[in-house]
Amino acid sequence: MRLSSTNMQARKMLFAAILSICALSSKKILIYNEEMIVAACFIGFIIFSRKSLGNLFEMTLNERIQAIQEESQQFLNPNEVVPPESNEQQRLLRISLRICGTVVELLPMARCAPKCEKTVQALLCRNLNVKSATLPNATSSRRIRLQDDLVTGFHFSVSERFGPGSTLKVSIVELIREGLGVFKMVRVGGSLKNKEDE
Amino acid sequence: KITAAVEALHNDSDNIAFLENILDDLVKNGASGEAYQEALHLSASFLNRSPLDQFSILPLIPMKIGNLYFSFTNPSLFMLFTLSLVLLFVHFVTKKGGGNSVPNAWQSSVELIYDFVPNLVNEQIGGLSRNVKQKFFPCISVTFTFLLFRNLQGMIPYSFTVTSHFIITLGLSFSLFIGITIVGFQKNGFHFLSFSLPAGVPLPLAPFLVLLELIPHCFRALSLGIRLFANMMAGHSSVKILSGSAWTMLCMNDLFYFIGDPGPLFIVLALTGLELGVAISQAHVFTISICIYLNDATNLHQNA
Repeated sequence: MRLSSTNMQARKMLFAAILSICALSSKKILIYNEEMIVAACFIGFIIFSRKSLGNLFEMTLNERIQAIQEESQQFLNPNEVVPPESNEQQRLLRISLRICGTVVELLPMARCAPKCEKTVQALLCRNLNVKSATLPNATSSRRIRLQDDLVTGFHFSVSERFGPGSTLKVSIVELIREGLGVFKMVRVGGSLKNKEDE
Repeated sequence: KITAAVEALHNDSDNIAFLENILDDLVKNGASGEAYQEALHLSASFLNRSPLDQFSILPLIPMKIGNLYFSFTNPSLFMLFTLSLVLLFVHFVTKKGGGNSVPNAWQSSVELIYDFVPNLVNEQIGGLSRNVKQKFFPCISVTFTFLLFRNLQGMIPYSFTVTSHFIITLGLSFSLFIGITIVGFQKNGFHFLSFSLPAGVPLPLAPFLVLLELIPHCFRALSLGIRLFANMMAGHSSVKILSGSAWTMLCMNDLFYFIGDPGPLFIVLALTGLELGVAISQAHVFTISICIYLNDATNLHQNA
């Protein structure tokens, strides 16, 4: 059905073109010289390129439109109601993992026996589990940002002080103390804010 | 012109009776006779004797003040046409107060054209704060859009290509280049002249090198205009010449020529495609060169 309708359209256009050429040339508007060949080639090129490249062009534009649509959908979501608890859990878990990760990264720089490393890791993981069991409800974005800033700050300050380039002799205890301190800050901040909200 | 047409038509004719007939008709009826009318009609088709006639500037509304001509010529007409085309296009796409967030096809294409320029500007002019970069954006954007649409409009058959005239492209490039130089002096003071001396050059070589750097610098203004003009003019004249030969082959009442006619016809088709590509790419090259010269002028030889 579609093919025949396109054919009908093409035939109609061809008929209209022939008729218009006859009319214009009889009225002596269309002068028969080489410019007519240029015009015919131009129209022929447009038809030809439409047939061969028309789909490509349409697809590119449609892709762009779809990408913009999806982007706008994504942006709409965070402005909606409170994010569900599972998201919040994941976020806090991620923060804790980052803190642990920072500490564990810098452990080899600290002077300590290999056994120490495993003990510290076990300690941190236990703390992590305890934490995830008692997760507070997060609602405000300001607090979220504060938590993130705390963790980033901890990461940078610890890397500076205990990192490979440092000349201070580090103590493993100090490192762990810092990590736990940040844990407490993040958790206390959460519970404080919760009390405020209530 | 009529004499030339008639001569071209009847010069080789051996048919005495035919010629006598025409002579009688002319003597009897003069200007209202059939022979005269036919000759007139034929001369119209011979009007473009030379392929360069398509570039002739005709004053449509002559205006003269003393020795200066301010006529409204056909380049002016076509520039107005391009301007109105661009404005109408943008207006219709952003109707109802700014179009939709999720664009349809037309709005998408306008957005793509509009988006193209900030990328150029940001890439090329590095090392400036955001505010200063945005100062140059409107001028470059207008140059690009206008140039693109002018080149494309020249592709329409029976129309006049504005940018195929050296005076127009030279005016554009020269004035832009003077603007760039002024910007360079404004930003760097006389230190701008240090642009001619790259870093790490031994002192005895310096005067020679300054001269050597200054000449290409001045030539940039010319080359920008020449590039655009030469591309447009060469494209259009070659299309005209080839289509002229195809037309002549068609007109001669000879079977062999008629069979061989699709050859030039196909070449004209391919050339039209090439012309379209050249039109778009020349606009792009012009704009990117301006961005590069701006970068040179404001950042001298430093990198971003």
